[in-house]
Amino acid sequence: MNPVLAREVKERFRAKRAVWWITLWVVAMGSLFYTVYLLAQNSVRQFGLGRLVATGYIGEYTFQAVSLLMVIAVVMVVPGMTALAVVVEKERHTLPLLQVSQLTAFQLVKGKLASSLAYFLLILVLLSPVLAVPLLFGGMTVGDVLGALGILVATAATVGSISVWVSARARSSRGAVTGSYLWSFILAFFTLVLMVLEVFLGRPQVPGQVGTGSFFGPEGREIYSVWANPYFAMVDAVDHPLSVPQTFGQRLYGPLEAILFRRQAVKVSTQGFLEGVPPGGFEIVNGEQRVVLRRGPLWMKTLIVYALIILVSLRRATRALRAPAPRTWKKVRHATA
Amino acid sequence: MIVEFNGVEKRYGKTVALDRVDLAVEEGSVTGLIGPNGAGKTTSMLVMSTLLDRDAGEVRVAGIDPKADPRGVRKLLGYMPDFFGFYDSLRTVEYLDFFAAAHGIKPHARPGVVADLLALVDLEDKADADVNSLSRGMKQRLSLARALVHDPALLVLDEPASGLDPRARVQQRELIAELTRMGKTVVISSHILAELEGICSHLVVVDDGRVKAHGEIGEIRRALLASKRVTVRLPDDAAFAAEEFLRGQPEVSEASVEKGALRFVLAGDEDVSARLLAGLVGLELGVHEWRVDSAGLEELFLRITGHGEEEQL
Repeated sequence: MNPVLAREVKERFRAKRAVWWITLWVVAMGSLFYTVYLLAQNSVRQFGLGRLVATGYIGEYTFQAVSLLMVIAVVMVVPGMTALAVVVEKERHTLPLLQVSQLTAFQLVKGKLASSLAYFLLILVLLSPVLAVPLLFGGMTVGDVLGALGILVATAATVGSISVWVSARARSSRGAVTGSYLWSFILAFFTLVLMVLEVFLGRPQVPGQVGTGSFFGPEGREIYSVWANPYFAMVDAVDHPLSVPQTFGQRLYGPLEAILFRRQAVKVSTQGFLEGVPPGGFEIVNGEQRVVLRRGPLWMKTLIVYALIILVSLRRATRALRAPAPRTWKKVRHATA
Repeated sequence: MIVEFNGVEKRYGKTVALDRVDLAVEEGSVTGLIGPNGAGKTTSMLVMSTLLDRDAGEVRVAGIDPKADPRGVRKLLGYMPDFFGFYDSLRTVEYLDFFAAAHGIKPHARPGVVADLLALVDLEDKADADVNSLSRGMKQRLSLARALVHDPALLVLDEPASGLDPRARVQQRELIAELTRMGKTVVISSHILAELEGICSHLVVVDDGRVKAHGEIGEIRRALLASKRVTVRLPDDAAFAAEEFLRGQPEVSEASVEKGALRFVLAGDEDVSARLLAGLVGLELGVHEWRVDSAGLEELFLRITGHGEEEQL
């Protein structure tokens, strides 16, 4: 076992605050889940759904809420747990002691990342009963839950890797925390702003028409700015392959689903009703009406982007921790001047 | 030679930390690195410990280039920096166990290694104490144990005595002597020159990023004492006659009479000293005292760093 991971786990879980944190997490998520359940019930009453449809709707609604909340939690919590990982070694003067041991810089980075994610994964495991409750209601499949968990873990690994890199480069805790949250927010929220800009600026200009044409057009169109966005990846992974929604009413995934459908050249309302499907746009698979996909699944693209981000971040972090520090062009120029 | 520097240079921006440094550390020796703040002692230690790369020159530790094979050097080298580096929430035994693991010592061998080290640094009764609760002296000993965890042949100790009380310094000195008996080579830096006096066999004097003198401590002393200060006490009425006699000798310079004592600088060995004393006695001036000042490390250091040019020994 990686010695850094073993020590970090020992240190983290020995602290009394670990028990409090985990308890707080479970209680907070349980409370949120119950609130979402009440909201779903309210929605059922509002739409006057039948008993059978209602339970499926409640399951789907609560699952969508919990999965989106978990993405927010990853974005808010993982940088906080990881940002200090390396910089704290610098501040307590233990980094040179590790650097002169037989540990490689990569082992150090790996240990730091794994220990931070281990804490998060433990919380995820503890919350798994909460996440599994929607399955009892129906409306969701085990595949949906696994897809959501996969995206959560991938997002946590990506945000964690970026934070480890920032931490390895930072000179102070404050700088590491600020930098980590900045990158995390760029990934989760700034990509949404970029998407708006991409859709707005990418509209075709129709001669003689004030305003715009549609960004997506009749054939649909790829939206590159959301490839790195965890919310879209989550919705795409859970919904994939895009099926005609079986339940109707207020859908938390609705706005994101609408964009994902448009990407495939299908118009859909935020309540799940398909409004415009191009000819030949449907196929029947196992008795289920599915949209014919014109573009590959977005979640796969997200996973590829995340894998690249993880690789680059870990490589950068490793380089920052290597001793003696590798020479940069700037240093070489300076030394030879 | 276990450590060799040939023309090593290191700059921090425009500041030259090491300026064509040549030095060699003999296997089994205790080599003291002395010099004022900013002289280049810590930089030299960081370079030999693989933590810092040089800009130019060659470095070899046990024949290995630290840049080409840092892990190879780290197997042979134990480094103790001039600051404490501790995980406060770990116990003493866990702290050493962690670094043993970091140095690749197998889990089944670690308890024995840790127990031996705790015995060596006399911290057996603190094995289960939180590192945070140890005194400064104990932390320094624990730090030394950490540097020894993989049984390195070479120990690099940067200012190990800084901030320690006199008793802790004595304990540390005994510990270093014990390590020398165990066959370790020790490179040690200190501002407290008296600390190095009793334990060092060799000396490297660094100033302004350059090596001003290096070699076996006795050789340095002998070379410097080729010109030594002599104080002669005589009856008041005889001092000026003696001064006149000594001014006529080619080996004598800077002769002066102060408060009834005649002082001068003698350039010569013990034979010359004896001949001059015999000459004064022959004049029947009534010599009360003839004292040749023996230079300690402090004086050696001042004399060496006071010179402009390098003195290679």
